[in-house]
Amino acid sequence: MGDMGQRHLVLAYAATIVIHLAYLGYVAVKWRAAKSVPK
Amino acid sequence: MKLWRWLWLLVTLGVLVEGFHVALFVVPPDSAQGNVQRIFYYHIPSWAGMGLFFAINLGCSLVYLAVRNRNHGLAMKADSLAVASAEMGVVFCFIGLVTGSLWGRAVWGIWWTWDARLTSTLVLWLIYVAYLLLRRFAAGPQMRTLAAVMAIFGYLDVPLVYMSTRWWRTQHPAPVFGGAPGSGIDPSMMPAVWWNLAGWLMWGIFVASLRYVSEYRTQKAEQAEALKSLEFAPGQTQMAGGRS
Repeated sequence: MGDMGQRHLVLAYAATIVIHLAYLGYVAVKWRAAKSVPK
Repeated sequence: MKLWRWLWLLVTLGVLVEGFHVALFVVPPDSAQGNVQRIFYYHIPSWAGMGLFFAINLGCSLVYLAVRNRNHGLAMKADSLAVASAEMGVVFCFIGLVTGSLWGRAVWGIWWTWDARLTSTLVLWLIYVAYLLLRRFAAGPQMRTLAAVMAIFGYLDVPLVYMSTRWWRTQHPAPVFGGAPGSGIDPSMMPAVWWNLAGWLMWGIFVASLRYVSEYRTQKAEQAEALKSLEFAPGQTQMAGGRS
């Protein structure tokens, strides 16, 4: 790769992965909080 | 976490890695746009994910409204899944907007334009963010009913988003799939679409299932707490009545 928009391509893929991981982190916090709730 | 979830995660990560590899290194670059067209392989699964999870949210909201006074257990499950699917849909929608904006900057030279497709999508995202804010900050027994009604009205924007490039002249490209005769992409590029579509949808199902379990468990605990205080309340009334 070496044409126009390569930087935008990398940013788009990175943004997708980072946003999904950030939401996974939020879900993990909720998961842990729910685990500590007595049944 | 149960064994099947670990297995699902393992397969999902495998499909995502393969999707990444195929999208960047296997399929050929677009003859007109070059490599920046490869954004499409992450852009399309985001819209597919958004469509899937907002549809699940709609279904769950309808079920909740239908059974909330008759079957409390099912209503709680439907409401928990409605929250999980709305959040996942908002995440996918946001990624679709971000990746689309990055592609627009490279190809059009602008980050954003107020055409029908982009504007209706932004409105859709804002509607579901408002839905989540309502659930987060409103209190009282009517909150879940209000949220379910809002979800039904909010979903009306989904067909509008889908049809916007067919009904109006937009800067956004014409539909690639299911568009006019001759639309579509070269068959040699399709493996990147399929792998990433499968991978990101599997990822969405995995994360939403985790969110569903935690929401359901929290709601169940809240209900148990409420029932406990109700059990205590009649005794108090009786004592007060006995004394008077």
